[in-house]
Amino acid sequence: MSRWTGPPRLACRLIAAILPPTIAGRSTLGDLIEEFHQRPRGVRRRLWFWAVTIELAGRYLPGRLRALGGGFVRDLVYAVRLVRRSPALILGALLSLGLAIGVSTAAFTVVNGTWLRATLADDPSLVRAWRRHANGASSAWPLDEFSALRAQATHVRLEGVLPSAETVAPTATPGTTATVTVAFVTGGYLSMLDAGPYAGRLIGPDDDRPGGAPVAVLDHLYWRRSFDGDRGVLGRAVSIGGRDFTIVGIARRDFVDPTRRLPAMWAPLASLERLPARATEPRPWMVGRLGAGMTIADAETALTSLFDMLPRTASPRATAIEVFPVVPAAETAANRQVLTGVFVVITLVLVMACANVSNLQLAGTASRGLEMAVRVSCGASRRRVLRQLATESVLLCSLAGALGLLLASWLTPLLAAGLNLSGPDVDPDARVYLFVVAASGISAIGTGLWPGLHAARHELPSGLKGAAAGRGARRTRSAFIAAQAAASVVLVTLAALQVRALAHLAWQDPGFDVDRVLGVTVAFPRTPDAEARAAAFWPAALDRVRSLPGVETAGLASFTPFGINLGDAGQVFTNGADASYFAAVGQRVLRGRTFSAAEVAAGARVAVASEQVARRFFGDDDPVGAAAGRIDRTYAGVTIVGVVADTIVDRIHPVRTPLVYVPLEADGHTQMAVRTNDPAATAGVVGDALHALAPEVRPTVTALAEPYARQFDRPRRYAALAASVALFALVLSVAGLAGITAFAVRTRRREIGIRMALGARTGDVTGLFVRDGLRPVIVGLMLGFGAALLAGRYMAIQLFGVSARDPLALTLAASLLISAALAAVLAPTRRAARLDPAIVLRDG
Amino acid sequence: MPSPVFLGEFEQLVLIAILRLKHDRSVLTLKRSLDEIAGRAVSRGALYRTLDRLADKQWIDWSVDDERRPERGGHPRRQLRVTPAGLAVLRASRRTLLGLWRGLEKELGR
Repeated sequence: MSRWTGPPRLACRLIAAILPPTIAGRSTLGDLIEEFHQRPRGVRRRLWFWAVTIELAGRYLPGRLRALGGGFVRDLVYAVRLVRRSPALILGALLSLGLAIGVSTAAFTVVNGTWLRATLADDPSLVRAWRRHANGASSAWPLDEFSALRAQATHVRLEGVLPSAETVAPTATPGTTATVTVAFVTGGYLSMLDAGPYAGRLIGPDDDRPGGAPVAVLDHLYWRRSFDGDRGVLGRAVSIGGRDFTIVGIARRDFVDPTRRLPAMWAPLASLERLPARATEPRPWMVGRLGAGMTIADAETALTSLFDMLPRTASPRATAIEVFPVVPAAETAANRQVLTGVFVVITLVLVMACANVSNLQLAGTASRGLEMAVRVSCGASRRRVLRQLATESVLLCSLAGALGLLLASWLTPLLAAGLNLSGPDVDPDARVYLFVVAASGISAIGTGLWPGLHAARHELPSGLKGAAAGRGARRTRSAFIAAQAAASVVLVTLAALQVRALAHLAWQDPGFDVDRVLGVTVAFPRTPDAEARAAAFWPAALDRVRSLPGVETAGLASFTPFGINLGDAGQVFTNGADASYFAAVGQRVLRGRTFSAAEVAAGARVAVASEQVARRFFGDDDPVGAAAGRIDRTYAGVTIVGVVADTIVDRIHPVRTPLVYVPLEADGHTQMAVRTNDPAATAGVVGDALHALAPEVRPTVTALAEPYARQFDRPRRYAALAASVALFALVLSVAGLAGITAFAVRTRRREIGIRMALGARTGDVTGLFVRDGLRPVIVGLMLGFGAALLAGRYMAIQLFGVSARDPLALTLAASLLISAALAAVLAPTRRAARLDPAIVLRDG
Repeated sequence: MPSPVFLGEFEQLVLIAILRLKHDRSVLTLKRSLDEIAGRAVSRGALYRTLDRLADKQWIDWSVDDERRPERGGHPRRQLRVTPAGLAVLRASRRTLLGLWRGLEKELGR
């Protein structure tokens, strides 16, 4: 069942909050849910549910409010009456604030579901252990090595996890199958990671034994989406790969699996034996928790020396163990940056909306000066007047908060889909509701404070005389406009930078011939002699592929571009390559040479460094002929023979992954790069040829242009998102500016009339208002540019090499804002300048 | 003389409709029945407020199904019942109305 089959959750919560918490109230909600399910599926029944919610709110809310207390309710009733008296002013404020809270809440919900949850779950003592072998390093461990090491390790607690795509179906409802990630884990995995449980129990060591009961623990989000959050699922069966597993528990909501594959459920590793045989041997990843006071380097040394002492196993021996934090340092930093960036944007949007509303309120209090003066002269204390204004602010912001929450419930799925986030938990949780309350509260203070203080200072006689607001009020309004202009210039500049970064990205050199290379991966059947067969397969495959029409050359490597997911771009990685690999992918040789066929065959102690390695470890020295031991002790005795250009490895990143290429020893995980003039046509031919050569293997052939094109998806979405937020900000600030100018013009009609009567021309009056209107905008622009330059530095990672001081982006932002501000000021001013002075002076 | 009891038109409709329900006396069935009697869709807000009022006056009460129903989001379902006090009020109201109508046959026939 998807989240769209149930009634709208937000509406249900509203009803539950509005109705009395009695059996009658609860059963009323039950009636509505039952009737909802009886109606035909579709949008109409959701709309119907919302309509009923609003109807019930209308019936029950006044009574609930009355129960809250006397004076507050009187103020509230008066505030509601005010809405009726000047609906345009209040609706403008409500819409402006509601939209801002809605946009911010949607952004916060998405951030909360992805980056914030991941950052909170980040635990520096959690590590992943990789095995380094002759051809590089790999996260996947042969079962025999994994079991031996895990049994012996004492300083580091080691557990295993194998994420795997499986066909899953709730057994009770056959026919509803889906392919999801199931993580097969060792007995202590979930408890080591503190996965809860939210309900039931976790997988324990007893489950992970040969012949142990087949059990599964559900992911909280998957449980909510697929089982509608029904706690009755515990004890029921779920089919994984055609075999029944009993659901024994649900993981806690905030649990983030460190594999980052978003598993829908976890099952014991031992239960893999119940599933149909795999094409390749299952190789779990190793996740561990460091003991107290232990560093990553300590763990690496301890595990490697322990590993050396273990008896030899059947699989080719690993040479060392590498330990990484579960969340790469670069990702943590990037997460923090995204979080900071989003919070800056949220703050700016809210500040803008508050400034807007404050200005409207100021205008409102200025025109209500007479009312305030009468209240004070009739004996109302300043405190009483302030309380009235505060109540109005609170009412406005609560309504705006409710509107924002409603908007956010529609915007959030759109935003998540727009960002193409793979299955984040974007259902609102306590943090999201807290955010809405905080945002509304801050808005209430932000919008109520200035008008309130202004009203408290308001001089009685001037109020009674109906005089327009004085210089002080005008200065405050100007300050608000400047703040708004500054906030919007920051947002517009950041958006322009994102767009520029996208353009820049498209011009970046990928380091290989994107349009002419095919990547080939091969799955070998799981047999005891698999490694030997793979070693024999590759030379024959190369000969066969090279002889195909359309193929220029082909080469082998441990991984081709986009053929691996490395995670941390900052680490030095080893890649095995044969003699023809560099020519096959079209990677430029910058100095020295690449490997000869003889060197590859003999496994010579030579290496080719990537440009990044050469720059980082050799600086100005010539790396050709130098010892590679300078890079890392694992390369001791190896000589560098050449330097090649950096290439993209797994994704576009401002820092290219440093790679050290060594002569390849082909095995079951080797990949092939095929150079061709026509990748589309050749892909099928290559696949067929490899299948004909060895019918038992399953080749996958990909034109590398496809994953390369996908690299632009995220930056394109960031740019689109930034542009929409900037547009929203611009509209908000232009609307605010236009509103305030219109107000200023209205209050200065008399002045305009006198000026015109004394001989001023239309142009003089227009010029006066444009100068007055634009002055705060210009001040805001200056402040905004300063802030934008600072903010740009923080988002450098998303800018893919574009400078935060990019002149084109800054000019674009400035001209956009100034023209928008000019348009906002000109319209009301021109109207004022066309007034007939005689009429103005007569009407007063 | 007992103090007069005011029974609104809609309250009266609701009480009569509850009495007419045979097996399922849930609010949903009541609403369907009221829609038929009134010849229009009765507002849910009005119905639930009226039920609250009738319960406050102790003219109706209810029992709750023990069964936990997933199609109701796990919320209880009420089975409504008119109390003896409610019946007495209905009886009095009927008597009053019939008394008022009596003797108007000629005018009504016209």
